[in-house]
Amino acid sequence: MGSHTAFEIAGAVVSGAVAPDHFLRRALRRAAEQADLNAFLTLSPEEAISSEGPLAGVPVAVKDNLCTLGQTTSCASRILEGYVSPFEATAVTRLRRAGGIVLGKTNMDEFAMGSSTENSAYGVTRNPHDPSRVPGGSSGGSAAAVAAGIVRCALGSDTGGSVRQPASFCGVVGIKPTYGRVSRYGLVAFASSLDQVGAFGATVEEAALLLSVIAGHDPRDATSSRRAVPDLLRGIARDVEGLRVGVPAEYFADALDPAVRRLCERALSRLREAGAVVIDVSLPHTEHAVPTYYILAPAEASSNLARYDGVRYGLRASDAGSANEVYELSRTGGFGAEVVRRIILGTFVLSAGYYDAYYGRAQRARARIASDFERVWEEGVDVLFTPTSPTPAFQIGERTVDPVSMYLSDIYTVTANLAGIPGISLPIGTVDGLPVGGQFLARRWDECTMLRAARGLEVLLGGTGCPAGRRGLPGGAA
Amino acid sequence: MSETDGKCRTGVTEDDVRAIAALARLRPREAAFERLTVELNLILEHVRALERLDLSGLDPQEAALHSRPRSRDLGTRPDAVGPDAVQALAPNWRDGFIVVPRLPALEATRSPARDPG
Repeated sequence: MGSHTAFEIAGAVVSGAVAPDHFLRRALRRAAEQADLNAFLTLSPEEAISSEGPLAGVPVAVKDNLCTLGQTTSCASRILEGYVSPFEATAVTRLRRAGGIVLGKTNMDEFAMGSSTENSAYGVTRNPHDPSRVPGGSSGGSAAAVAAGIVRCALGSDTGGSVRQPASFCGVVGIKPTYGRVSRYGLVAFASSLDQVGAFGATVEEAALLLSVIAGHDPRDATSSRRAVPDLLRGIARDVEGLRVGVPAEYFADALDPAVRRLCERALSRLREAGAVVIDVSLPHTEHAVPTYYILAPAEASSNLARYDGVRYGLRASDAGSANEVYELSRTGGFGAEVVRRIILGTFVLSAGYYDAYYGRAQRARARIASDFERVWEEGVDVLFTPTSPTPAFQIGERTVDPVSMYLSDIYTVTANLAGIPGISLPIGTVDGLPVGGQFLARRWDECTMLRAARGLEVLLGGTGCPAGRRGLPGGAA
Repeated sequence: MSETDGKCRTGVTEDDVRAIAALARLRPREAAFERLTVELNLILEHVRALERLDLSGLDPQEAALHSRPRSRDLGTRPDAVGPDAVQALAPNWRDGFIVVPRLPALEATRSPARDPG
């Protein structure tokens, strides 16, 4: 994409200055040059390209758990290998109607279960800033595609941080909207009370543009809100003077890498200097968020993934001698190790005798965590600022042997999913060449204030929003 | 698995994991059970932190938002998936039906006269 933003691409296509497929061909070339990243599972450009709409001619990468007509949707799982959905996700349909082009489907942790994209059945995606490191997850392919300069925008999904954490690791912008802001129709379900489609962009404005296209009520998803979607780009360029920014002490505890802490403190200094009011606050139940999440999400997953039984679609074991064996052998052969682990955990916490001790307790803890946020908003805080992840991107293989250490990558992001509030990660600097993300959280439905804060900080820190990576980025080697 | 009095479990055995896997319609290789048991216990130990939390007087929060779930408008339906699409997706198909092996429990009721398969 070079230095052309999504706005510039659409402007050039709509005005007729370039052919509608001009930037698609460029994106395909870049994707081929960087195939070693393994960001894409399939590349399948459309035949007809629109020259109308806010995303006219803009190539967009789409996570492989969003159903697309005419392209496989595998969720990076063997059990859905070659599956072509007979219907399309509403977010993808809206993206196409806005003139966007689905460049291809991106790699991910299988069924979005993971924080590194190492759980893909089709190999790990590599971080464009350092190929020995993970891109984060589960939407690692989408984040890497933006960071590598293949696309300016991408779709992902965020159940516990799966857009924001890879955005942080790859040095791009990632938005998790308020639960209900974007339709989940056609998003393959992982944990339905937590899942939300999210948007990546090379800059805050480009991520906001993509969100503005996909947001809004969808009668096919009963959890999508009927609230009118405000103009997410209007007011985004307002400065941060007078903005009340809460800083929760619990997000700056011992687990935080000192270098990440310093970058967060630098960001807060810039905000203060620009007239924002920075306030110390407390979210006392933060430490319980990861345990709560890792009960609720596997419980919901064990139910949602019961549909993969080898009967109606997907992988069927060829050596099954009975219907029961079809179920068991197809599921065992089709699911990877992390998915099996979470299904077993989820089945356990929902089992008779343990339901109240685990699932019921976690549901009540969720209420406690959500009420922490309500109290802070009532105190007059407009947005919260936190690190997105405790560390920069870690080495491939570093955390695969210890599931709990992997789960703790999500410690600062799962709270937003549990509370249903919006969050955004944006680059705030680098540590030894690796990007670090800062996160803003806001009240439900108040993406506008969140985007204003993020855009304001992006400008204060230097503007491009996308630190130069190994290759392909504005100012990068390619 | 024995029942608890609302407390988190302190240790899960390999036999417990076998029983859970069967409930989940999974049949991991025998060698995998030892690893799964260790991992499950690690995770359950981590989530025991919730026992320290005072949750009295709180209702369970079942959704991201507190609002009541809405019913879908009856006039709006998901995309219809016709027989051709189902056939294209089905692992095995014959005469308009998805074919699966019989359940062992039904083998005793099998009637050659009624069942051409």
